[in-house]
Amino acid sequence: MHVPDDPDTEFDAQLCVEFAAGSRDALAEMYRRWSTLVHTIAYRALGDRHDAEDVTQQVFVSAWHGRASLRPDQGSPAAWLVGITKHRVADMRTQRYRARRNLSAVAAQTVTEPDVHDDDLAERLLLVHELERMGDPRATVLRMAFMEDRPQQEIASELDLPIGTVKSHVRRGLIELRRRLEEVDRVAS
Amino acid sequence: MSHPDDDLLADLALNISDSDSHTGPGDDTSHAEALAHLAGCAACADTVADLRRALSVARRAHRETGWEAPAPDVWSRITDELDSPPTSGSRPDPPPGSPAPMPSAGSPGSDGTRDHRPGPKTEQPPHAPPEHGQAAPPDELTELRSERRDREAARRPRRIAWSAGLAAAALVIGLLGGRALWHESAPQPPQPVTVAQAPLDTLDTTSPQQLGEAAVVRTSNGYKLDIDTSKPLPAGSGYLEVWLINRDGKRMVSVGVMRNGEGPVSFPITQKLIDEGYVIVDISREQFDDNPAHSGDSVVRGKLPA
Repeated sequence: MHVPDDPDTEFDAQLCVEFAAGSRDALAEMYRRWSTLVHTIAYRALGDRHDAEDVTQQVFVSAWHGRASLRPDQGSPAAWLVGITKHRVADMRTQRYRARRNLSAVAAQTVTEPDVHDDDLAERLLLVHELERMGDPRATVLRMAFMEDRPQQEIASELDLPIGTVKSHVRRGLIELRRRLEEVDRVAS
Repeated sequence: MSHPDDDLLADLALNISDSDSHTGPGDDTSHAEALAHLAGCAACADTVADLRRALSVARRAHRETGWEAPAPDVWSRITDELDSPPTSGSRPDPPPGSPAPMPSAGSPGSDGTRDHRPGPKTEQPPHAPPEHGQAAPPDELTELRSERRDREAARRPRRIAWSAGLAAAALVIGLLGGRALWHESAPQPPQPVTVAQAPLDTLDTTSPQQLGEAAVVRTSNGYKLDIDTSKPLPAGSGYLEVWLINRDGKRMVSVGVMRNGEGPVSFPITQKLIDEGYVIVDISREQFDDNPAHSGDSVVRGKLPA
């Protein structure tokens, strides 16, 4: 678990290459690593375990069929899977909405509000998942800087790290996070 | 000055909302220069806007806990689906290089009901991976494969029954739902189809100018909102954000940030948004002010036909 970032990135890239080449073992490895992330996003977004499992199944089947579109040089497999997950969740919502609309056309008010406040759910879960895979002290620095919104000086003194180290972790972390979100967007659009 | 490097842009994204994280007097000069650069460089301003979005996602992530692993049989459902020979009505593999496909509209369960699920979990093949940990780590794969032939034999009758059930259910729902649901079970068009289009005009009431166009496009991967502009939209010292406003005038959803202030750009959306009346496309000028709400400073707007 506590591998430094860079070897991990290399491992991800290797996994991408094998997966894109059609390795079922690579699919199993991707499932082992990220099915919980995919399923949690689907479950939290849809609130239903059956639907979440259907989405999880569809995501990995779609990923397999679309494996040629996974580019090892562009971001992480996790972000790619999250992009696919967003699509499948949106599809599932549309299907539910239509089913409900058509089966209870008169009771228009039973149609719920769109989940406008949770547009970033998938991205947030991706971030937390990535942080959990990341080694310390970087993970702790990023958690304090981003999630707890604490000043870098305070993080430095609490963790007894040079301010320059904290600063560079935060910068690199933010730049990396932006790349992940771009990858999600690229797949989801 | 030349473009600030990524580190400096990241600092700007962080420091705009967190001015106390300067680490020394040396930073102030370069920050001030970089800020001045941002006002005149759309590319760097977009990068900072993206970094700010990333930061905003991160800040809202702080109570995300509690992972939910899928049930152990999901992995075997996946391998079953991948190992099934194509049956009539199923979707062939897309050509290499195409994006991850969505299941066709007629695929199992796509009408939102549960009745077509291929049997409850108790009918799953008895070879599902053990319950401990995540389903099917790679070392269990070989075993799974060797059992595939048996499993397929066991599955075949059920698949036939399931197909029959699906056909019957489709008929019933078709009768109930009429044309709308019938359309639902038709295959998705392979080519993107524009389902609605609207000009984007300035809000100038006396002589509105058309500066662009918005279109909702259905693709094999879902829906997207395409924005095109006749010329770059003025972002001022900030950035441009695209919104869908409900026709009730009360609710709105941020769709995304226009990276370069000009089209063509596209953003993923769901049909549900359109169905629920989010049909007014609005592009606003936003400042780097840590306020996620609409600034009220709309550049252009257009209403999609219902």
